[in-house]
Amino acid sequence: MQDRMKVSSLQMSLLVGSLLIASNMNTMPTAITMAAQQDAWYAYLFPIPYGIGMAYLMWRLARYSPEKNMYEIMQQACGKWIGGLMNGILIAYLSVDLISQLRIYSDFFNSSILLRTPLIYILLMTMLLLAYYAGGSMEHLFRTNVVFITLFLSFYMFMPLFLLNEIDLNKLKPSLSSGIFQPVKGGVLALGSFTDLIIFGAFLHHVRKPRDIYMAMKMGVIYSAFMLTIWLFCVVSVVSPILSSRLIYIGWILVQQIHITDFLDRIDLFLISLYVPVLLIKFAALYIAILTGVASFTKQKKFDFINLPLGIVFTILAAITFDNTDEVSLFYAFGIFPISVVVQVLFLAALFIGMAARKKKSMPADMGITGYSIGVWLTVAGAIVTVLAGSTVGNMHGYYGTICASLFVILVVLCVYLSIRDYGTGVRRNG
Amino acid sequence: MVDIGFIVVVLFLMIGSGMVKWKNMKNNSSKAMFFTVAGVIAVLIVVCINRKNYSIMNLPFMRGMVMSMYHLMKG
Repeated sequence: MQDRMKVSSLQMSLLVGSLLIASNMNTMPTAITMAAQQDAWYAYLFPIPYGIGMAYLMWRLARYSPEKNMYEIMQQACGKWIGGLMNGILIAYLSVDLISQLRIYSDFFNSSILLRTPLIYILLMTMLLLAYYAGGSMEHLFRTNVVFITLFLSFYMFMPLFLLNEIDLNKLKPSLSSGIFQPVKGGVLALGSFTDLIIFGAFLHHVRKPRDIYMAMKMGVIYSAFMLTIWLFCVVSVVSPILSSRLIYIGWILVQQIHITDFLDRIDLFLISLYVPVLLIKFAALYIAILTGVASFTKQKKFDFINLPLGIVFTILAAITFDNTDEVSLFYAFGIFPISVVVQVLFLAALFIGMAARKKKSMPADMGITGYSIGVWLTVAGAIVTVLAGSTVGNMHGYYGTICASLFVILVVLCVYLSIRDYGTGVRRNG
Repeated sequence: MVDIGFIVVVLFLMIGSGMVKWKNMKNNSSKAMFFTVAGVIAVLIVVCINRKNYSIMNLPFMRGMVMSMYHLMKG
């Protein structure tokens, strides 16, 4: 049921982490290392401006109509027919996204963990869980997420420590020596994996104050990019860029490389038990966003009656829409980005043109709070300039690339620190 | 892909869902949506029983887009 329960900005921020981190850990590094080779670990720097931009757009939407979600605002701004068509396009895009991710997840389970379980059974069980979450209040999902993502982050942040005896820094070299296109190509693919952020538009009616969503998404995007940078650093330095570009479930291979002691040799099983709930929370959020969109076509604005039937449709579609694992991995890594760009540009352009045409006279005044956000922008810009400058001169001398890589690490850590400080300042000022 | 066990479970879930949620479907648009989705499920099951995979990648436009992106990134 579509509820109007409010959630805190911290809960919102932690959901950004669930949305972006877990689903991009297993198969995306394969595509990114194929495109960017040893420079793959710079890739997640490039989606940060997109993520902050999306946070800004969500804030503007929440400010325009505080108690409404993106689908309702679209119908209000563009009318019943054009708004309905745009909502339909966005729902179709989100459905394709969910179906491909569900298939990747079930193929992974089917080929790595539950070898004798039929694919359709894994899909159906997953879908029933998602339907259960969608049947409850959105606050349940946010609260569950807080527990799991906190544990998940606290363990996965120490991956470089767990893998200390396996990391070979020579695999990262020659750093930034293959020209400017290599890190940019990785960045484009990474950008495609961050496009799920648009689903926060479906949760705008849960936001207490419009500014909350900007602060939450901004911090969430930056720490997610940081976590994925750590992850890609481990992938490249442990597995090597050549091998990781040929393995589909590289994330699973990576956690299996942890050999701390004989007793902790199977720590991968413990880590995957944290990974799966976070991934399921992401699917649940995506599924609820789709259901919220479908509910916007009914008079009651409720989706409880359509929850399970639509889940069954997604189950069957996930089973038949792709022939094999290779196909779905290719589609998710290389196909989602162009589709996302077209759909999101079309949807957001229509939305903001519609909003401009029906400009409201009064909006909540929450523009005053600034904090130290210029620091975040400076560090992000500095890191991008460092990577681009490094790739321009990196082929001249090996140490140019090493210096730029070190500067990149310093700037990214600083960016995370400043974003958390901004968030703290924002929360204190907002009360 | 889809066997008789899956079809029975789906039938059970659909009938159960319809019975429980029928009183919540207070207008015709809700009922129409429910039966449309039920129809889609029926069509999909018939497709699945024929054991044919209708891959999205068999669409020439989709395959062209994904593979050109792949070659661009690989090259």
